[in-house]
Amino acid sequence: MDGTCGVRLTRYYCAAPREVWAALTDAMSIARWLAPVGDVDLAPGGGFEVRRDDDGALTASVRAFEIERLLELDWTVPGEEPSVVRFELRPDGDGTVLALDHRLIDARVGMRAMGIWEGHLARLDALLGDGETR
Amino acid sequence: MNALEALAEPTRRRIVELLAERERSAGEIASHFRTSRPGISRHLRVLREHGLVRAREDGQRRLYSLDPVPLQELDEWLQQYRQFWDNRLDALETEIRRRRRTH
Repeated sequence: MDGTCGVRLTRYYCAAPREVWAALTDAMSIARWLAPVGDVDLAPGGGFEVRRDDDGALTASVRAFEIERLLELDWTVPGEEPSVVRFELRPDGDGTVLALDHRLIDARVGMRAMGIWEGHLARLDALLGDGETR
Repeated sequence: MNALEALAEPTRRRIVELLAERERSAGEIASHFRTSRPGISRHLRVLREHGLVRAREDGQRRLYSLDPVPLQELDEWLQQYRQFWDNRLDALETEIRRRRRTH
């Protein structure tokens, strides 16, 4: 996979995996901890839309779903390649460790945003002869 | 993070990986490829022109190394993602407590 990068965060919550999972996946709860969302359907093949102030809704589609253990979403911002957001829970003593992994973030978006190699990527694409900017 | 993979051409990507390990001469880099030495030089020129790789003279040799600046800037951008999720995971903690009170 080329041109992508990611971030990973780990948190410990003083709550059982069952409680963390409920807060993570309940439609009303998602609206409170994540962002305003439309209808939520977390069955395989389902998903939800995240409303944003600026340019259009972000789409989250379920890739993997294992109750109290794993939620993996295709995370699609309009006009960008989809990235993947994965929440993984594991019991730890009386609490729960949540590992969040946001991967396959299109690095070119960042390079454009930061003006890194501005114009250079376009030239590089031309050199490579594919002309397609991802 | 492997931001430099954004440079889609496989030989250049491999060159960047070699230089991520340490500074190397063009000959040393070329020894890792079947591509001709002039071919490797062309790739190095492209990488230099794009501000990814630096060169310095060392006697008869020219030594190439990675320019760390673009990577640092990309990491600053990624920091926004870290910050976003850090805030959201704080909010999740609040929500877990809230559900405890109300359920």
